[in-house]
Amino acid sequence: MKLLHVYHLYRRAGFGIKPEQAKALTAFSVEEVVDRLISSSEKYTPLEIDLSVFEEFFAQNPKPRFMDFKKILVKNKHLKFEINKAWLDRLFDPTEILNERLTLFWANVFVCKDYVVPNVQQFNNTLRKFALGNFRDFTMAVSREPAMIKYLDNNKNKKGHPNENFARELMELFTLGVGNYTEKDVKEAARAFTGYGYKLDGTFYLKRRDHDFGIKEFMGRQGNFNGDDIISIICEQPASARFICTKLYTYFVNEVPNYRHIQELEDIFYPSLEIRPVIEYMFKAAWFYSEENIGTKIKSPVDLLTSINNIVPYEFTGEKEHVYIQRITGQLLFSPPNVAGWKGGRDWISTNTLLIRMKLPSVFLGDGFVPSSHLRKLPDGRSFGDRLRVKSYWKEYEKAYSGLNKVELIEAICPGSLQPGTQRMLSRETGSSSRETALQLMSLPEFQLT
Amino acid sequence: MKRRDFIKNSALASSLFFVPGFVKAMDDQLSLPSGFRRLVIIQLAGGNDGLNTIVPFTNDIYYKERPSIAIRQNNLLPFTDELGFNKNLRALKELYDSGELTIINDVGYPNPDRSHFRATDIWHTGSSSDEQLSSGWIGRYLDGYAEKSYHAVEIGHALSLLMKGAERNAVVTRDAGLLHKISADPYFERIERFNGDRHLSEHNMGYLYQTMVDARQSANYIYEKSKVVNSRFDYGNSAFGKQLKTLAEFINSGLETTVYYASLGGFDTHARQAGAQDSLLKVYSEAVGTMVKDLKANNTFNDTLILTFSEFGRRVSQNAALGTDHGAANNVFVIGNQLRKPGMFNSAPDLANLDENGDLVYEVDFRAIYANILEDWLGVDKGAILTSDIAGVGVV
Repeated sequence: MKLLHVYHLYRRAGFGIKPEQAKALTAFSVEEVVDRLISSSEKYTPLEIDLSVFEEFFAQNPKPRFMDFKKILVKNKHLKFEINKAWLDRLFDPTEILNERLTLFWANVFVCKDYVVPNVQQFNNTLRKFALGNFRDFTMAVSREPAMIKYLDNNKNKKGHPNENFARELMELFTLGVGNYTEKDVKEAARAFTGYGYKLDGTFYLKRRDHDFGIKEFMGRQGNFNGDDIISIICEQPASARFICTKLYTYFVNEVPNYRHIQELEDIFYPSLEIRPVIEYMFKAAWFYSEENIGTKIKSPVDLLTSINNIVPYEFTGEKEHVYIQRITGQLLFSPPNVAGWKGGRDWISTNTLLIRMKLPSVFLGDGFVPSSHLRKLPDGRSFGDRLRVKSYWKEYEKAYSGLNKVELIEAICPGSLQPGTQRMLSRETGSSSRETALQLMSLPEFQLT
Repeated sequence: MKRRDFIKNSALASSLFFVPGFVKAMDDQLSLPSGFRRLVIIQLAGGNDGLNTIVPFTNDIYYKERPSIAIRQNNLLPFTDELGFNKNLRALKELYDSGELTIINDVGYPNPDRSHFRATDIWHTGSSSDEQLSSGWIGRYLDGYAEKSYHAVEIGHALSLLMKGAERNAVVTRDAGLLHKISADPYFERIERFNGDRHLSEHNMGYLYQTMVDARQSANYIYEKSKVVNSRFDYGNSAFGKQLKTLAEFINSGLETTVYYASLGGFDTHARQAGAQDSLLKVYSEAVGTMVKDLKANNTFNDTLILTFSEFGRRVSQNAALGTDHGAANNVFVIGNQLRKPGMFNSAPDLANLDENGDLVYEVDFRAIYANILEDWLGVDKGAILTSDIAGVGVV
């Protein structure tokens, strides 16, 4: 496998790779590397922060009252910063890299938001558990998650007065896409999800009194359908496979869908809806490595933060700095803008976010200015003032990158080719150290691509 | 105004740059071309329930369909024999009383879409429900009639479809000071010097380079112009209030920006609507009311028009969770002091005549409002911007 292709695979399927490990993988074929990538994500490591306050609460209150539960919640508001940090830390140093990448992907398919941290953690781990599993089972599991039941109002969905929120978004945003169901389907599906409830400890149960056991007419079929039946019928529609495969393609391969390639994915995915084989096919496909798919996707803010970390490890030392950075770059983990999730692609980039994104490497890792042998620093100090306390580990960079020559360094840091003008600019940077060159490269528009 | 005239006027304006800053600051309106008009667009995102915003308090159907969420007359700010403002809209009531508000009822389009995202796209692009457009109507205005990205400004973090053109995107900003400081890094200037300031490639790389150029240009321009203006009005502590404060400061510093956009989210009230909607309407009304006062105090209200819309209204009938589900037609507010028909533009919604989903039927096509604003307020050819040739309504 070519070095360029190893970098590409690991940037897209994971969160980057160090040059030495990448070089080692060039001895193997694409099939071998992808197989290894997948098998090392066979199991998953749940994300777990210290939630002992809640465990103690449930141990002491066999029949917990919501009012008391709420008090514990309010008292432990800081946990939402902790779980955000825990996920970001995980992305900076993933155990099962493909699984973690897919968890991030699915979090933007099954979009959900909640303020009860134990429910948030449980939901996130459901994504992890099914990331490479079966899409039908996955969707059913998601529909039973307390966080989702609350987020899309299924807890208020009652027989006689159905609430359409979940049923509509299930079809529009999670499984089928607009145009593949009717308004009548929404109304009937909403009836099937009536009575969905959960206990405070996060377990699902059906409130039988609120559930509509009547006959529903859904997508041309009639029956006493429950929520799982609705999901099964949805998953029988070829449109569901097309919908998910298009999402996979535009996330992992190219923001512009190529429907010939997507059809190939559908042929693998449908009708079993097993996720692992389609992922395997995608990363082994020759088109995944074609030129127009390398270094042409715009990094999400998380991609940006993790790709900087892959070059020079760093950590936020304050309590909320990681949240601040995610907020101003436009992707706060666990907090999608709405139920459609982040649009991605060019939507990450505005006149506001781009300059911030280009500035972050020098703020995190340097003194706030990009070093250059041709420039003197401005007198008026750092753009973020003391707002950001970040600890960087350049020693790790020295270990992994300082042996590379300039061409190798560019290949390791910037995917795709540099603009001619930028190449000229860099060629005039004589006498820059390896560190300085790395910072110059990370501060280019080119570094915004993956 | 044609593109040529716009350039001419801009050139005239920029010749004033040698004037010392403090003189210019006091003299801002002079530096704008005569006949300069601006549009502020506000979205109530999530689908505001128009029926609990402008309440038909004599309508039996309203109370029958909403037994637990209908608002009683004594809890409203009545303005006609049958209609009252939600009591949190005090500032809007004042604007109504002073003839500076037009309420357009039943605004929508044929075959309404009930998805937030599709419906928002339809409103942002000015498309019909079976037409997909990848640029916003303000974006196309920028393409055809503006020379600089900062002629349209979105107050926020990310760029909305509304503000995306085929050739040019609007500027997005929240904190002009921070952006200015960042853009002052000499390395970025160096990148630009080696690559030029026109990037026509349609690939992501060209997009990134062009955005960098636009960002640096506008960061400088906006910061230099607006740094001397600090509003003395109290916009409260809400994020939306702060957005409108920034917006008013930009307007009052005489930026050559013709269109501004800000959004207030959270109107998707499927459950326990009353508390949520009330506090949002309060935030909206107080911020807009303060902004109007601020603009009046700075003589910039005369050439400002404020359009408020939501991507759809909500179902007439309430749901089981003391909320309402996605509906269709809705009311639109236009604020300014050059309105052709202040007050109620058309009659209140007909609740006896709903569509098959139980939603309001549209009477005024939203694109007729766009057409009116483009032709009669911004003075441009609507044909170059809208894809349908729906005639304008006479709001302004």
